[in-house]
Amino acid sequence: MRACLSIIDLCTGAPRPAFAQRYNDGRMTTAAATTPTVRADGLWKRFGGHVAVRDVSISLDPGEVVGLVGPNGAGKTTTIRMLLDILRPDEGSVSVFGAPISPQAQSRIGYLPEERGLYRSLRVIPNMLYLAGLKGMQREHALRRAGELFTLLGLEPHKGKKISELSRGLGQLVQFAATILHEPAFIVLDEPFSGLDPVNVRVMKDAVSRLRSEGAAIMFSTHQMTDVEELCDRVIMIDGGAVVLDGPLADIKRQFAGNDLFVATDLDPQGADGVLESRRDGPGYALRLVEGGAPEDVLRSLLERGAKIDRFELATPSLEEIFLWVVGREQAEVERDEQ
Amino acid sequence: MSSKTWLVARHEFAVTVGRLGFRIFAAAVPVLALLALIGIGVFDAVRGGDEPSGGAGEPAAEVTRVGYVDFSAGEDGQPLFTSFHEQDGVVFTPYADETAGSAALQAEEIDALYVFPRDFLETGSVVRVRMEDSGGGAGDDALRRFVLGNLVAEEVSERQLERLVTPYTVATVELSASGAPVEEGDGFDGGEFLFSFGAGMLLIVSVLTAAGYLLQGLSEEKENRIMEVLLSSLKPEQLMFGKLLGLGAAGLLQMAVWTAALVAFLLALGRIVDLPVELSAPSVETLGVALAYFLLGYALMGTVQAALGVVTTNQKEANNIAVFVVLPAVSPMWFLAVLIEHPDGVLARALSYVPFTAPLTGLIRFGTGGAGLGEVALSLGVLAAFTALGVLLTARLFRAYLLVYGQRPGVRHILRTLWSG
Repeated sequence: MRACLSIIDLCTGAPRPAFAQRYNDGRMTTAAATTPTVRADGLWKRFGGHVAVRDVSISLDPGEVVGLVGPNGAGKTTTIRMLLDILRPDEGSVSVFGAPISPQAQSRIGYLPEERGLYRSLRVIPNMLYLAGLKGMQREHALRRAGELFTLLGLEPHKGKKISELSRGLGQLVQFAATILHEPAFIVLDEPFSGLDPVNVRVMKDAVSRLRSEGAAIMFSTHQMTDVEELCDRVIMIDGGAVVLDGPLADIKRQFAGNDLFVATDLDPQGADGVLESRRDGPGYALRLVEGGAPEDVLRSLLERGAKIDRFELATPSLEEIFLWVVGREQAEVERDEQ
Repeated sequence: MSSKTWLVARHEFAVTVGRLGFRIFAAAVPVLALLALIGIGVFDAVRGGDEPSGGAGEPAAEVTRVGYVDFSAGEDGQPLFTSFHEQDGVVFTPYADETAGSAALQAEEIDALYVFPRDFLETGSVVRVRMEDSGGGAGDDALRRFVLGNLVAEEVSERQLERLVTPYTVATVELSASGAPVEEGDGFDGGEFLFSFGAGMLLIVSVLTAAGYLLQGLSEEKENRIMEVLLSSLKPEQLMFGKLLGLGAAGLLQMAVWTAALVAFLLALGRIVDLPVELSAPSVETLGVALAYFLLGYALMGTVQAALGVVTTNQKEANNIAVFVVLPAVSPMWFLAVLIEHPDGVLARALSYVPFTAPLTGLIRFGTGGAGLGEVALSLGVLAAFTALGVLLTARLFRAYLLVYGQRPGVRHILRTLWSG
């Protein structure tokens, strides 16, 4: 049986009480303040002998944008389908807006699946009206709201066209509009930017930011780590059907930051206290500290040596580096178990 | 019934009725019926115009002129055919020899020339001469009257002569189990049969069309991946029932248009030409039976087609498998002669209780008087029960396979799903 790893032992090989305490405290505080928009506890899903999702517990708060990341086949889509009540979990429970999912709750959820599709023979507006109707929207309200979204997303010239007449990117924008037409409080976007040109990516990102500011909880599944870093408050990483990472983006980055520093200074830091290695990196220097070295010791030593310091920061890894590191480690674990 | 089910139903109805193919198909029967009526009317008018007028203001009588050459001789050596020259609208004109007769034929004064040889009494042989491809000549009855009249006129009365020409006609009186004669209308009624048969054919076409649209729609939604969006808003069962309702309503609309066209066509046809059966508007019972068979037949076929749409990967594959469902539904046509000849026979009864063959068989049997309302009710009951089972099982398939893309589940897996839900 494969071990279900946590952020703590992934990062260091041993628990880090301070981070765990901070992270858990933060979550508890948030949970106590508001009812989570969606909360899943101990979800399991098996297809035949294959375990697609194992013991997944996640939650989203109002106004929070969470990135759901993981390699292909990790269990993201199955997890999303269980959150949306498209699939029933074998074990575990899901509550949306504080209660088991209901038709009323469904009408407050917007879902843009990765595999997108609309009725190709229908025009844009009938497509949107039908999907809005299924969410319980009145026709007049839906038409009014559709008009707003057409303007916002630049779809006005295309609203009378058939879906089959639209380019892939425009079709995707139309489906995004249909996803948020009914002003959902919980939105799931699965690879929303794939196939879009940079202009439309920006349009959609602005729309996502606006939805967040209006209080919607947004789950955002993607392989584009830069998008996650730009848009998400928190990251949930799934691999092998299990959550392997869950926490605020800044905390995770800090947690994965090693003993590396970046310093923009006029003096080569090599030889300063605690510095193992220094190399030129653009406008400054990338430093590797000695085992147990503290950044504050390096800063003090540089100041004592009269260095003029413009920037001094922990060199945090990108989310993509963290992703590759975590998934690579998971893969290694699997291979070791199989052997 | 939830509002989402109604919404799906309305959407499916609107999309289906909005299809150009549906509109053309629905309008085809009325248009063809109208064209047929116009064609028949024009043909009738042209034929009437060609006939000689019987006088001012009088309809032209249909008269056929034929000639004959009489070489025969009776026992007394005299020619046999000297009288009875007008028979059943045929005028027999004597000619002295074949040359004169042929000349009249070529001059289109007569349609045909009959040559009675010298040994006619011994052989009964007559030679008919007519222009190539003309098809002209006296009818059998007219010729028989002409020959018999001349042969035996002096020995029998006119009434006896009539019986010699038409020895008898048979009228059948059927007795019910109580011994009372079965009144006309309780048994075979030509109009009812024509309506039932026509409605049965249209029913099958309509049911298969509507069910085909359902299959097409489901396959498209799976291929388009819109299914996932739909299922985030409603339950698989709501989607299935909504589709069945919407497409059923579209099929019913098509059926109503076709039925109205069929009734109007038959009634109008009866006014234009003489038909061997008397036509009247179908009875309420017949309409009710047709409606019931349509609804249940469609529900069954639609359910099965929906199941196929769910477990297959694309529309082409679904259509290929659907043949195995369509064939049983139309199979009563293979036994049409038996069903009409023996509407209460073993085969007809058996097919009435097989769900896939029941709609067409039941409607034909009811139209021919082979099945009463009681038997039809039993047939509909069996069909309803089987359909309910089909709906239950298909709902299980919907839950299990709606989101399975690109791969067809194995038969064993499908059977396990059907069994365990």
